[in-house]
Amino acid sequence: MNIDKLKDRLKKETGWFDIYYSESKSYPVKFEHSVLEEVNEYEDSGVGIRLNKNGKTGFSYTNNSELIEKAADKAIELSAFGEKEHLALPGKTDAVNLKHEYWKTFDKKTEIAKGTRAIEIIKEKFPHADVTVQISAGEGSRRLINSEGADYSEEYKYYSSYVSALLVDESGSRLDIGYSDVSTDVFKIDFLAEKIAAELQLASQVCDAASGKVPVIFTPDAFAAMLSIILSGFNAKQIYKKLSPFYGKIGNREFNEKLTITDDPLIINSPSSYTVDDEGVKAGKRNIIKNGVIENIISDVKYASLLNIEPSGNSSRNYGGLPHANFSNLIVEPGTTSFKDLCSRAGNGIIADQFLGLGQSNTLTGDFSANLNLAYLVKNGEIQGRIKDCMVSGNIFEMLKNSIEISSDFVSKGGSIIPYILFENINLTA
Amino acid sequence: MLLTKIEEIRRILMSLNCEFADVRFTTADSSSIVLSNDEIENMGSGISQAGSIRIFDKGRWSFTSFNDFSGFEKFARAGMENIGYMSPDAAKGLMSALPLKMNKVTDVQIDFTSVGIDEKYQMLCRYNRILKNHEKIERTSVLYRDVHSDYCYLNTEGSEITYDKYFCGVAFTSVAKNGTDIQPFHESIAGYGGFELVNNQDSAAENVIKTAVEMLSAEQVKGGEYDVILDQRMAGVFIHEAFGHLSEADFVCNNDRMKSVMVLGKKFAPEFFNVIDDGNIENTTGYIPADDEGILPEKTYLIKDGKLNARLHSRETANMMKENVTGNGRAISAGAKPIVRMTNTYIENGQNTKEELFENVKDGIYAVNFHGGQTNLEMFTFSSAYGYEIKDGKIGKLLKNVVLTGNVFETLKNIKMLANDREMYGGLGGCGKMGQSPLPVAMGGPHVLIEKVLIGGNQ
Repeated sequence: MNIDKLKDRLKKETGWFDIYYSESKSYPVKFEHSVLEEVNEYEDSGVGIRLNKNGKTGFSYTNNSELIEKAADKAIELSAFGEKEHLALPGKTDAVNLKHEYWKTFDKKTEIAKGTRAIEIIKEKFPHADVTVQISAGEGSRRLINSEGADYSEEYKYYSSYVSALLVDESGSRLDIGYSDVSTDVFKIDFLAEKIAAELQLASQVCDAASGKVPVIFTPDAFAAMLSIILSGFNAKQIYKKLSPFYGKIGNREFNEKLTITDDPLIINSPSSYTVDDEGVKAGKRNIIKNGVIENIISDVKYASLLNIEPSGNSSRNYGGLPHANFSNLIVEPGTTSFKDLCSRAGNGIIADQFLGLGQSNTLTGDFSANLNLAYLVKNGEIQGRIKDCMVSGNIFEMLKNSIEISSDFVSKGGSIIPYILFENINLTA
Repeated sequence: MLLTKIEEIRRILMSLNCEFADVRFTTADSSSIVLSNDEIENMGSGISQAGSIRIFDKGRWSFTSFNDFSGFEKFARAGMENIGYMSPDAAKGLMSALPLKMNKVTDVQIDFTSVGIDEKYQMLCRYNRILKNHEKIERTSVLYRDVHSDYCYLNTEGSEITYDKYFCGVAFTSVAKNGTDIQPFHESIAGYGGFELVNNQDSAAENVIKTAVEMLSAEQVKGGEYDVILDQRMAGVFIHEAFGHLSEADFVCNNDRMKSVMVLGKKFAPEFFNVIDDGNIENTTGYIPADDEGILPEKTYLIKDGKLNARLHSRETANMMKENVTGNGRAISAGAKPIVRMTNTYIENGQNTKEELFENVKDGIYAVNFHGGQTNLEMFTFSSAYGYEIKDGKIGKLLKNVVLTGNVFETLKNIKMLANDREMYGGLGGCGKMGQSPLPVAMGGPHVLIEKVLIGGNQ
């Protein structure tokens, strides 16, 4: 693809512009139903063109290298009907790429052996388990060029693994548990299988729960699912549209003071890290919530400009779409109480791990109601077994404002860190 | 442009030393316009292409996808090499089919590729004026999207399928606000066809603003067990989520326990209950000329007279269970591998009127329009956009956050009555499975009365 030729053309014909080119390859190895099912390869590359002509913006993309000129024609044609906007795109910065430890070879035979071993670990304890393993390595590059002289390229690699096990009993009752991890270099995956085997053991005992208001511990996966619902509220686009529940509340204490959440794009060996975002803005670590106070929001160039703030360096895009602000590595600051002590504090309550339907919550008001796909009963601080067919409901903002306790134990995935959290009074419908 | 390459692709495909292989190619031109309040959020277009080759030999699969068509031979070789990493498995096979030759050219009333950008934009402005026409409306958004694509499928059995598709849709959102209460309401209309599908939807936009404003006065539902009447859309979501996914053979064929649960002939629901999946219905979003494995779609009775009658298959699952293929091997794009998916799934009409259903509810909830749903194949949860209290057969107070949950098998047994007013619904969204989302599907049914449904909420 001749991106440089396109740059020269746009310089002549348009006001400001940026061009985003990416290419990626991945090599997934997939085990399904406890056997090696397929060995695959994916390849994709394309270019996105955002340009402003006569003060108005148009966008076009293509993944056909012979049609880049045509895509540019389309973007120019569309811009006549686009929104009037002036974006101050960034010029060159002094940022340099992070030095990650990247995988050097991805040997399919070795990876197939790893997957086979992970299945054995689970099958030794649960011969009926239906195990899925997905191991993938990926590599590629991205390049961003704009009218202000920015021209960044980065090559990247990642490695990811996902292991899950399904148990179905005579009544059709299902237990499905999965864990994943991601890095820039290959890693051993036995720990994922071991974690699943331990969890299956814990869930094999089924207990009854009663309706009422109970203490609930959210596991790191459950806590992350909950956070994903409110995090969009810290996006400049939502704030600008007054669709964020945090509109007009930046600088206010909106959460319990034990809650501190940071976005850190500079963590070594995390595939989610970057030093320059996808619009060319220098990236850096930022507190989103510090001791319950909303300190920062994330933004792309467009919505930062509309809010009259500096862009936060969180812009993310693929060649087929416009840039948008996104979190990089999300870090929830761990507390001082161990997970075990958190269970003791809960006394008689439940541990929520997986939800069904949490994504259908009202993200604006924080109201939610979700089935507990996987949850455990806690009695006198001890985990008793799995509880089924029940729902939790409440308001996420109220829950994070009221009394909470965050654990010192946490799960780290790629560059993110998420601990356990205890809420004291949650509606349980059983 | 696809047709010019067919000869060379066929030559390479037929030279592969394997039991079965198929290739798919698509090229697509798309455009999208997004208005948010009075601002144009996106004025964009795309020219894209995708291709893949899938190889099966002695129980081993490889799947290779790409966007650079000129490298096809290289990708075919990589696929053969990847097969070599796996051990042969004699137990696995594929259901074969007769070669299918199809060349379908779609005829639309108004070709959206010849409608000017200005006309599309003016239409969105008109909808936007409707959506914001109330003092309590805080934000609006209107989205328009169209895609014209060409599709080509070839396999080693000698099938050659080409067709084109015109797909377009609009999505409307009004967000109503009163103090701290914010209620968004959303609706989308989409389908296969031309600009005529989207250019006359003023009444749909009017309904969106009306509902958003009404939701401000809706009450929070009280959690507990209720008799519930589902409207046609909720009935569709229920059958898609709660039973449709369970009928996808890939969830059954590899699991002995699931096989013992999903036995053909087993009674799952009352005798008057029938469920169908049918990819042949041309004007719906779940329509397919052929599936992505070169098989024609079938009208499949999943439940007939309350009993499990059949399930949805790909070539692989059909072979594994020694049942017939149903034409349900679908992929979200030519770059994704076909898996077992639904098409148009619905509950067949019953004998009663909607009014008769209401007469049979003393104290219950009417769940209207759907917001979303999810299932783990045993338990399901789906939320209606809103609901109404039913007291002594009469519709009462408007309710919000109505989330229904339950065990699939128990809930099916608790179905009491079916009305005779089936409707189908698709929209701009779709179904998600194994990372392939959103795949266009449609779902529907008549009004359905179910007893003892758990609804979440405050005690």
